[in-house]
Amino acid sequence: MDFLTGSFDGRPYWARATKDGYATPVMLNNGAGKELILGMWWDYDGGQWMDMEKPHGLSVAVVDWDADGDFDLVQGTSKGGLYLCSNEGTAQKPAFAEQGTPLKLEIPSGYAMPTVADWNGDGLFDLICGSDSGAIYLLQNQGSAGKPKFGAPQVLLAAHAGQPGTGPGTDTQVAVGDLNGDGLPDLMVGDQNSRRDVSHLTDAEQAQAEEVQQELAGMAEIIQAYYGDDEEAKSALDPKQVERLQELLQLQSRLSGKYIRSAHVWMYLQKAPKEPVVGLGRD
Amino acid sequence: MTRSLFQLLAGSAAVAVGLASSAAAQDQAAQAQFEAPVLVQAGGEVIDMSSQIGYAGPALYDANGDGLLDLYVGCFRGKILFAPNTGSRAEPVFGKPHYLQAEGKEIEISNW
Repeated sequence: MDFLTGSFDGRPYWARATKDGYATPVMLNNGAGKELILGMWWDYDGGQWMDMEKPHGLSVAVVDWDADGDFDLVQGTSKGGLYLCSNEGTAQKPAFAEQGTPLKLEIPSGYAMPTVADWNGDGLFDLICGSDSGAIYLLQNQGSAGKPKFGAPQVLLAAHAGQPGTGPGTDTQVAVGDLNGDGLPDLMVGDQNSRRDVSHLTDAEQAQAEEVQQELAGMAEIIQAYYGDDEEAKSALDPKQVERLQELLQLQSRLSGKYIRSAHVWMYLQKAPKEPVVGLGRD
Repeated sequence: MTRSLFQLLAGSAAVAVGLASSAAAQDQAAQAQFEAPVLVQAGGEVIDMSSQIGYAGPALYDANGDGLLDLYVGCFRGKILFAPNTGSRAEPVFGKPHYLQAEGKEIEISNW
């Protein structure tokens, strides 16, 4: 089985399955033989971001959108938009459209990370999206085979509100499958978590940390001059203020706690509904 | 004419019932309830992609055709972790993971 993956540089990549495993992934091309780029992209030759006013495509899901026997692409962007990139070729010789079509669907907090599954068991594919806030959104297909039409995003799983480490953080990505054989789709949710752990600090140190933050907040103009490019403003600073600023920054560094980053995967098993599912053909 | 009209109305009613039924089903689907989240392990250790610059991106696929969904996890560095499901249909257990390779090298999708 081949796989496609999105990337932060704005391009989808394709790894072709071989008898020995996989071929080295390559950038996916459109029908014109050019790199398939939705909007903003990283120019490896020039070393800079290009077309920064355009949406930044991050993610890709694969589905036969129009039921014509070949796979099309649904791309998600950093601002939360979803785009269709139609395959105008065939399953054997894909030729993706040069320009993605906006689906006019927006994931509220941005960072749209779609996957495709028949969530409600009606025989049509739905879209399930991770997001910047951590919430998982469901976009139900209200159309028909070959003519999908999606409702507004519904919160399938709210952003985790419990203690850090007891559920997903932000920037979630999601996979769907029946993980316990009960006939209901379940979720696998990947996340990104960055936080400062101050639990090792004493109460006095935590109080001091707050005081330092408050004093720094009142020194915004001094900080701007200190770090700014305006040499004249920098040289005009009172040496005592500079000394105090440096002292506070050192204290802030010491009292800011340990930086903790994690990126886990969380399994959410769906509970059986209390009422029988109405009007669906799920087994 | 009368008969045709009746058929049309009957057809409309059927469509309306179908729509109501479908809408109720879709409401129900969006109100799914879940068990408490479980931190997924592979090979007895919690999966943590933070050493690969984070952003865990899971995918499920039955790679070996045994009827169990295996786990793939992408990350910002562009590597792809694979953990085979060695459990059962009722209870997934993910075995020792490894990073996927292509042509003898670990896959690393360029990210920026």
